[in-house]
Parts: sequence; structure tokens; C-alpha cells
Amino acid sequence: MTKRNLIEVVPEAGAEQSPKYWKSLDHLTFGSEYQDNIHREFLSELQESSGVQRRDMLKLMGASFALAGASTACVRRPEEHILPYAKHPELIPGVPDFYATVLPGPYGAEGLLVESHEGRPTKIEGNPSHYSSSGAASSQGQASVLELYDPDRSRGPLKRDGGVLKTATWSSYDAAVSKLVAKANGNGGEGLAILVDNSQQPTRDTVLQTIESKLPKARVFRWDALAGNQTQLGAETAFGGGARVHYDLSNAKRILALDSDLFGVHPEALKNAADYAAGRRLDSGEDVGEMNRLYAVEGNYSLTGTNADHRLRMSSSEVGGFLQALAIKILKDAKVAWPASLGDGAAKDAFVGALKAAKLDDKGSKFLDAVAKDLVSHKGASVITVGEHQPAAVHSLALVLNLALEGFGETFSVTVPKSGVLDAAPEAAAFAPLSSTSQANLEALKAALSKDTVDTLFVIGPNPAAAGGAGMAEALAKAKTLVHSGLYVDETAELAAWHVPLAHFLESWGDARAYDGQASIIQPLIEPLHGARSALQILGPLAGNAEGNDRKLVKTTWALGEKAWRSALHDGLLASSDRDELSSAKLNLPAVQDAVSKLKPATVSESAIEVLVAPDLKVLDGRYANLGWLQELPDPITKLTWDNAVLVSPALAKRMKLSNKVHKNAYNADELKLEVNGATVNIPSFVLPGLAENTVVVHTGHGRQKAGDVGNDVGVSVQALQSGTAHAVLNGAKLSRTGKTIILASTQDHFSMDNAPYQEITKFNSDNAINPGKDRNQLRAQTASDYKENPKKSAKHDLGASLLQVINTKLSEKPIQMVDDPFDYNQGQQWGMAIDLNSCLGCGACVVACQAENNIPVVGREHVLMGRELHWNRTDRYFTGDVNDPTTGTMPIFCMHCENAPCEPVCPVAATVHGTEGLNSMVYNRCIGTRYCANNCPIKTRRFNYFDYSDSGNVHVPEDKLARRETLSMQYNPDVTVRYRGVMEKCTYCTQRIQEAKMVAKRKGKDPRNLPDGAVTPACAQTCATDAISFGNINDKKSKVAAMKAVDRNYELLKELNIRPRTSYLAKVRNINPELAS
Amino acid sequence: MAQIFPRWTNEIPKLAPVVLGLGLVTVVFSVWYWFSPKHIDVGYAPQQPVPYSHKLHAGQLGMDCRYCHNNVERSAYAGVPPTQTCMNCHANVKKDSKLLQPVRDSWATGEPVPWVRIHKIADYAYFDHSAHLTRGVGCVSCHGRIDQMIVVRQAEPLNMEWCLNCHRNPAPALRPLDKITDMDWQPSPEWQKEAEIKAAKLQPPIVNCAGCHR
Repeated sequence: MTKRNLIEVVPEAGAEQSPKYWKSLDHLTFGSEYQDNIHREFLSELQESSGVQRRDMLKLMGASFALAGASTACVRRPEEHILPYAKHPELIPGVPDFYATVLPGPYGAEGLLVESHEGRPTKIEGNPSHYSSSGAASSQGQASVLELYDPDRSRGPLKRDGGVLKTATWSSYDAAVSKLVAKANGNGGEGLAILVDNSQQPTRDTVLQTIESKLPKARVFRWDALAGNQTQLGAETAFGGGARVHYDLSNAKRILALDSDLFGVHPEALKNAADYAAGRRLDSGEDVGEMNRLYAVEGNYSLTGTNADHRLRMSSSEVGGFLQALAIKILKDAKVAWPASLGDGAAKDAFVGALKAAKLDDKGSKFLDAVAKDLVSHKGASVITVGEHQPAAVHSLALVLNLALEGFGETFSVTVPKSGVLDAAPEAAAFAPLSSTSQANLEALKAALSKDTVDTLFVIGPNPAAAGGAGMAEALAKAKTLVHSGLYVDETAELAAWHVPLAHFLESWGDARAYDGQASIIQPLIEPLHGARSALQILGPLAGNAEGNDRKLVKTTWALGEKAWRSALHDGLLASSDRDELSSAKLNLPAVQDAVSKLKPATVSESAIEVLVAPDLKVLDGRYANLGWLQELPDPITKLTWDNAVLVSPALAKRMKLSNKVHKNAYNADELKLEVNGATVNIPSFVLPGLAENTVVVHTGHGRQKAGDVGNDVGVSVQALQSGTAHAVLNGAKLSRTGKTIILASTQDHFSMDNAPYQEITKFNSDNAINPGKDRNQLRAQTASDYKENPKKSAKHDLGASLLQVINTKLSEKPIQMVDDPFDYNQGQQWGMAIDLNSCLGCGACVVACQAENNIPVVGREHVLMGRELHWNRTDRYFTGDVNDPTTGTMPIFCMHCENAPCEPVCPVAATVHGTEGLNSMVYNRCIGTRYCANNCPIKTRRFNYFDYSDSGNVHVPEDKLARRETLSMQYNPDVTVRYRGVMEKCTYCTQRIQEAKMVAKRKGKDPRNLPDGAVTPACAQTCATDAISFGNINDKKSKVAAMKAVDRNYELLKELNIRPRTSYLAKVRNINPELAS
Repeated sequence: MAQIFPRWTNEIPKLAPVVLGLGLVTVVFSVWYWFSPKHIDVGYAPQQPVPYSHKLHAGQLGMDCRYCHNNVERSAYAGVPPTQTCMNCHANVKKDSKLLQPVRDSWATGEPVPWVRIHKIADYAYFDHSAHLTRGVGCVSCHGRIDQMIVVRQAEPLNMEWCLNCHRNPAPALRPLDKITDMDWQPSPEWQKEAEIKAAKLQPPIVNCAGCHR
């Protein structure tokens, strides 16, 4: 097979494309590599295996054999012990308990519900009663349970001695701290600084206030790389210090997202996703009038952009000009009334006069006209959102427009601190101290450090050395005594005089507020694993607070009666918010006008490339870099795992003659040298259709050196381009090739389905002379108007329907039946699933949920390159249209539990068989690993354990670290078998949850064969923020899944094979604006 | 020509059958002894750290099984009782007994009493006590006459065939729900008829692998 440069062979824009939906450039060009892959059961092995990989493999094999030896050692029936509790526990052994808690985050707390088995937290769900999550959980929220058990977590205090960190004791730490405290008490805290994260934790903040009042010269800095600095400034410019803007997308019929990743890294991402999807639920073609429409204008190709109905590619630096042009258009529109609260007509004229519209090309101005018209005609139900990459002025301008579009109280609301609005800042730069941004805090700390005014610096939680941006590590090194407290011995710890382990949020008492001010208690699920101390305990001595009991401290903060306290713990909510919603909008127009008039758009051109620094959608700013679940989770857009890259548009790649060769499934990426503002980063390139032509995107959080065994040296660090935040727009970059080629592991072509398994059959009918494998789409989509006219098109669209007839008439009287149905599937409880592609955003949270629930191991980068990832659930991402400006759709795919399952008759040992309720069961203890079943699965949903991945926890682990299992295995779900090597596995529809629901019914004396709708929710469906997945009894016509399957958009994959899958899909509907339909 | 093999090698053909025979016996014995899982061995009765007699407690004193195994109707696991349960009585009864020293130690230190597991089902099979008890399958059906055992031993093989035998024909194992812990109870002819009717409705998993394996 020859290596092809895909960029050279992709069709020009406008040329006829075949296939219509493509997963990658290789798929689009339908290269031999791709064709080879679709006919394979598993991907071909990586040919050029480097020495390191082979060595890792041998280590792993050695370790596995050694373990195999140990477990079958000659001991006759090893005596096993049952170790009951000494004192009667509150729990019932074998029955999991659920506790509500919150994950304190950079913008607000995420409400969680944690499943605990005999005191071991195993699985994290969203808290259904918490507004931030409504029962869904983010990938990171779910993976935080893995962080708790991470074997690389810090195990005890360390003290720098002779330049290296050496093991120390807590008592020696306490002695050292009491000396520091004595000194601080003597000089009023002169030279003492404390850096904590940006989250709002009332009890901790009270302690910090005590420290500040006790030691007036001490300084407290709050910083998080993910905090929305510009978002905060924008809201505060418009509505005063401390103000926050909340969108309510459930009321929005028209949404314009300007460089705004509403569903990705956003303060209210889960809520936004749920609200957005609620506005797109279609039960029939009659509902399309009620459907919302999402416009996106962006340089990156974000999770929001991929879901937009219309998207305008535009470098981020130009978005401000676009919004000003849009503002002029909207404000001059006669149908838009200038809000009285903003002043008279003269104020309006002055404001409009201050705006500088960008010059747009034909496409841009057509887009602008259509969007302006659409937003105005949906006045009161339209909203403009702006993302963190845009300067504060753009945010505040959008708020003026939202106000003019009568969205206040409808599509957006504003909350301010209960303590009152701080003085509205006249200029974006000058702010009251309380509303200083996170980024400004870090800059201030950096300046203080550089001026040598910091003697003692306590860093409690954050890792500024790795995420604080260029020069931060050097600045930190200047602190005379750096005391670091964190989960890991990380990059900041490496600079510290003292490092002490910090308790995980699942191990400590505390409290935290959500973005809207809602307070919740953080309650511990487990004692600190490694004797770690909580932030409250570490801050205690500084505040002169001897109380080591965090629970008491938190209880004191809230002063609740026992009953109220218990219900606050139970619900995960406190009846307290420190924010009030503004009842009327008092917008500071002069401040906005001033800020907007100072906007200076940078030029972006071929010679001055724009670089967007954005947080990684998985490991964020790198804080989760050591979590295998997140490293191996394919990026929602690029499908890259274990890597980051500079994302380059196809046009730029073509111009730079970048290689995007894919060979044996590995992306052979040209390394690029990225030079901007004096910083240089060498990073592999990845061609991503849909980016603005002269914009490149890099993701933060990679290339860490002290993350742990999993996260070290994964990808490339872009810290040199950052400054205290994970968001940045840098202009005037130069790109050049270094000549090096780096292999990237993108799963975008993995498990590609053969679109035409019926090639043989087509021979019978010349009418069906189709281009095999090309003309068939797994992902089906239609426009809203088309859906209204042809509601059944998606189902009919199938070539399969006609081919079934061919089969019927030419081959036999009956459709192909692999085995006779062993059971009557029209009877009793039959499980099935429906996935609404109109709701699915492709975020990948369901993949993490599945991994956590079903004990799915992480296989590591080398094995992903060989297509051996074990995720039961994959999310196929398809592009369609112009390669430079495609439209995207996503499709979660996992075992369909076909009634006529092709995997079953080929198994020589009957290890995969059907049950009476239509489940295609996988019996691990029968499986001998022939892999015939996977070979015969047309949907490629089966995964094989090539190695004993579960035992080592991760293939990167050297033998001497096999002790990893000790803590990692504590995460395992005890209700699911941990698979050994040589065993096939796949989605079970969460059969353990079905069984558990039946057991609960039996205990209550109810009929387990007639469970009520909603009694069983698979892990993927439970965590889905958009409620895209419905599961239940398809024979119960009143069930939600039956209702979904009855919607006319419902279709099945590969219908012509008569596999009768239990999972079906509801076609995606794009709400196209007729004025923009091309 | 010099001889290639020394003279003693002539003995090899004669010794070979003996050596091979012994080797074969060793292999067969080793595999049988060390590789066969003993958890399907009926009669396994290991020594326990405390010579707790079920015959005394459940038989002579007539304590209900659920006094100690109190989660059996609520959980998959019947549960070995915590030390606290023992101490409910033994804080007063036989409080100086030497045999009870491990129990008192456990109560004092909080360390569990290391009871030796007798009934073990393979890791890939998921058995639920509560499902069986709430359907009217009594303790005695699987555990035998515990009330007559001084040292508990395994009464049934607990292998899949044994499970399925009952799942195919559950009627003989069914009893009224108030008799599930009664080891002496014998079905009356009327009950046998009733059990047949009940069993027909139960349909425990026979061919549903996912019923027990997940």
C-alpha cells in the first residue's frame, strides 16, 4: 500500500463528493487504506513499531506471565477469608449507597451523585436536583473517581533537602509551619502569599478572610487557568462588578454563538446542552416550527460549531468586527426598539456611531444579513453568546444586543452578589479588588514574586508551574519558601521546599457554590487514602484555627439544625445562594461604548497566522492529564487520543504542502514550528476540516513532565503561548516545517463499517447498481423543511429497503435468517434503545460513563494505534460537504443487540447467545478468543482483550509499578466481571443494572418480568446531558423508548442484512435558514 | 569405531516405561489435586478461628438464621455477622470463655474475625440471596441441615449444573415465605400442588446467561 498525501487528492470545493458522509480525509478520498480497513475485523497492526514500544510490550507480557504464575501457584484451594465488620455498619453489604456532593470547579460547582459500594466510591453520576447538571455529569466529573484512586497521587509530606524532595513526616511539617506562622504573626504576614483555586468555597473563604484580617499584610491570590476572565470582565463592564450572565437556551429559538463553546468548556455547559437539546426534540414533522436554530461564527471548530445549523468560519480576531457589523444592522432595524433603560435616541446614535463594522466578503455579509433578520424576527427568543476567546468588549456589546433583542429575563438573566453590585467599572482594566480576574490574580502574584516581595508562598491546590503560562515556573522558583499542597507531586511541587498531600474532594468536608450562587456541601465518601489533609486543615494553622474537624467548621458556617443539615447532605443542596437575579437590566452603556471603541481588530493573513490556544476538551488545562480514561477518550472533533496537535485547516495544509499521510492507521504528521510573540513551540500538525483558513488551534494540558506515569510526556506543552489562562488568541504567528514526522493516534477511522456488505446481492438486480460502499450513509440527516414534507425519508432513504425485496424475490421467500429466533420477541419484556441523533452533541461523556460502569481498561497509546481500544461505546463523527467548510454529525455506536445477530452462529463455543429478553449476552467464561464474532459483526462493536489490560491498569506501567492495582481496583464496579486477556467483550446494555432492577422488584414482591418504564437506565443514557439515549421495554407501547421508535425519523443500521438491531437511530434534522440554503 | 553412547544407556529402554508411568501418575495426581477447584467439593469443612456451632445456636437455642445473617432478604449477600452481633449476647454469656477470645479481641481492636469461606461461587457468576429467599427458596435447599452441623460444611456442589437442575424444576425447593429458615419443615401434599402452580409463574433464568453472568 502506498502512502498518499491526502491533502493532494481531496476533491475541490463544489465537486461531486462520494461518499457523502466521511469520517476522515482518507474516507473522503476512499483510499485503499480505508478500503482495507473496512474489510478488516480489527485494524491492521502498526508496521513501524519503535524499539520503545516493543520494550513496553515485553515488559507487559513479562508482568502478565509472572502474575499468571502467581495466581495458579500450587496451593490447593487457597483458604479465603470472609472479613465482616467489627461494628455494625449503617450500610447493607452488597447494596450500593448514593451520596450527593459537588465537584468544586473553576466557574462553579457541578452537582454529583456518587455511588459507593461498602465505602468505596465507584461511579459518579450527576445530581438530578442540582441545576448545573440535572442528573448528567461531565466527562471530567465522572473521571474524578479515577483521580481519587490514582496510584500516582502524593503519598505523604516531602521536604526539600539538599536540592531534592525527601520523605518527611507530618509532625516535621507542622513544626516547620508553626515557625512560619510565628514569623507571620510577628510581622503581620509581610511577605506571606497564599495561592488557592478560583472556586467559591464559603467555609474555605471564611478561613481565608480570617487569615487576611489576622495577617493584614498577607496576600491571597485565587487562580484557575480555566476561569472565564473575559466573560467576567464583559459581564462586569455591562452590569457592574460581580455580575454574571446566565443563558437560558430552553427559551431561545435562535442562538448565535460567537466563538463560544456553549457545550464544551463553559460555566454552564451541561445545562446549556440540556436546554439546547430540549429545543430540538421533534416528535413529528409538524414540530419543526418550534425547533431552535443555532448559528456559529468561529475560528476553531468547537463542539458548538459542529452542532450548529449554520456556521461561518472566521478567525477569532475578526469576530469582534463581525459583531459590530451585526450590531449596526440590528440596532438600525426599525423592528428593534432601543431599550429605554439605555437612554434616549441620542445615546443610541452615539453608540451605533462608535461601532466599527468589519468588511465582510460576500459569504460573510449574506450570513450576517440572514442572521440579523432571523434574530430580529425572533425578538424575545433570540440570544447572542460570546466565548472566552473574545475580549471583554465583545462580550459586553453582545449583552447590549441581547437587551435590545428583548432577551432579558427570557433568553438570558444576570445575577449579582447578594452583597450588592460593586461599582461598575468604567474601564475594563480597572476593577474593584473583589472582581479582579483569575488571570490578573496570577499576574499580580507573578509580579510580586519577580519583585522578591514574597518570602513564603502557600500553593494549595493549583499547579501554576504547569498551567500558569510562560515564565511562571521561573517566578515561583523565586519564592524563598514555597509550600505546595496538591494531589500530586507535580511541577509546582518540584519547585517547593515542602510538599504535602492534599485530600481529594471525595475525601474531604467542605462546601462550594455553583455558577448561579447555589451552595452545596462537599461530603466525603472515604477517609483520605494516603493520610492527606484537606485545604481547610492546611490553612488552619495560618488562621490560628486549631480546629482540625472540617465537618464542624462547615456545620458552623451554615448553622443548620440537625434535620436541615441532614436534608442538605441528602439533597446535595443548601437553601442558600449568595447571588440575586437582577429584576431589571441596568446596563452601563457608556462603559460598554468606551470598551467597544477601544477594540482593535488584528489582521489575520497567510503571513500572519492566528493561533488559538484553547483548553483541551478532555484533560482541560492538564489537571486531569494523569487520568487514562480522559487521555484515551477520543477528542470529540479530532478523535485524537493521547496526543495534542496544532490543528490546521485543509487549505493551509495544502498551501504548506503538509503531509497528512495515514499509513497502517497511524497519522504521519509533519511537525511544525510555531513562532509567535517570541515564543516557539514544536508540535505535530493535524488537518481538521472546518477551521478558519488562517487560524490554527492548539490545546493546553499536554506535554506535562510531572503528571504521573500516565500523563508524563503525552503530547506537547503549549505553556510558552499561555499567560495565566487556557484561552488565548495570538496573532502574527509563523509556521514552518521542522522536517520531523510524528505519529498521531486518531481514532476517526477506527471500526469503520462496510457500507455495502450486500455487494454480492446487488448483482441480482442491475437497478441497484450502486457504487459499493460509497453511496450509503450510516448517519442520516435531513433539513427541517424536508423532514416536514418527507417525514419517512430517513427510513426509506435506505437502499436496503429495496434490496430486501431483491433478497426476498431472488434468494428465497424469506429474508436472511441466521438462526431461528430462539424466543418469541413479541412477548414479554424486550429491551431496546433509541438514540436521537438530533440531540447527540458528540461530547463523549457516555464513553467515560461506560468505562466507569463496566470496568473497561485503558489500553494506552500504542494499542490505540493498533485499533485495540476497548471502549464499548464509540462516537462516530461524520463530516459532509465542502472539505474546508463541512457540516458535522455524530453518532454513538455500540452493540445493537441484533435479534438476528451475526455474531452468534459463528461462535464455536456458544459464548455469545441470546436471552429471552432480547439481550445478546457475552459469556466471558465460555469465550476462548477465536474472535470470529467480531469478524462477523457488521457494525464492529466487539472488542478483544489482547492483553491483560485490567490487571496492570494501564500498559504504560513498568513492572515495578504493578502495585497500581491496589488502589485502581478499588474503583471497579463489583457487579461487573473484570475481564482477562483473550476474552471478547462488548456493550451489554448494562445488564447488571437490568438484573439489579429485577432484584429490587423481587425484594418488593413485584414482577421482575414487567418492570416499570425508567426502572433501568444504562450508564450512557444516565449521564447524557441532552437525553439523547432512551432505553426500555420496546413491547411496552407506553414506554419512552417505544415512543421514540415510533417517531418517523427512526431508522436502523444495515437493514438489508435483516439483523434486526434493537438499537435504532432518529435521523438528525438541521434547521436550515432558507436564506442561507445553498 | 568408538562407541557413541556409553554402556549404561542400554538400560534406558528398560527404565523408560517405569519412569514415564510414574511421571504420568504424578501429572494426573498433581492436576487432580492442585488444579481441581475445591469449591465444588461437597463436604469441605475448614477449621474456623472460633469453633462456632450452628448446631448449638440455630438448632438447640433455636435462633433464627436472620438474627445473624440479617441482610439475606435485602441484599445479594447473606452477610457474615459483624462482631457486634456476637457481642450482643457474649458480652454477658460465656464472657470469659477462652474459645471466644478472638471475638473479644475483634471487638476491642476493631479488626475483623477472619472466618474461613466455605461456600464460594465463581467470580463470573452473580448469585443473589434476596431473590431466592423472597421467592420462597429456603436456606436448607442450598446449605443443608445447618442446624445439625457443629462445624459447617458444604452440603451441595454449587456448580452450574446443580443450579440449573433447580432452576428447571423449582417446585420441590419452594416453601411458604414464613418457613424459609425452618430447617425441619416438610411440604404437605396440598403445598406440593400449590408449589407447582407457583413454580410455573416463577420462570427462573434457565437459558438467560445474563441472569447470572454479567
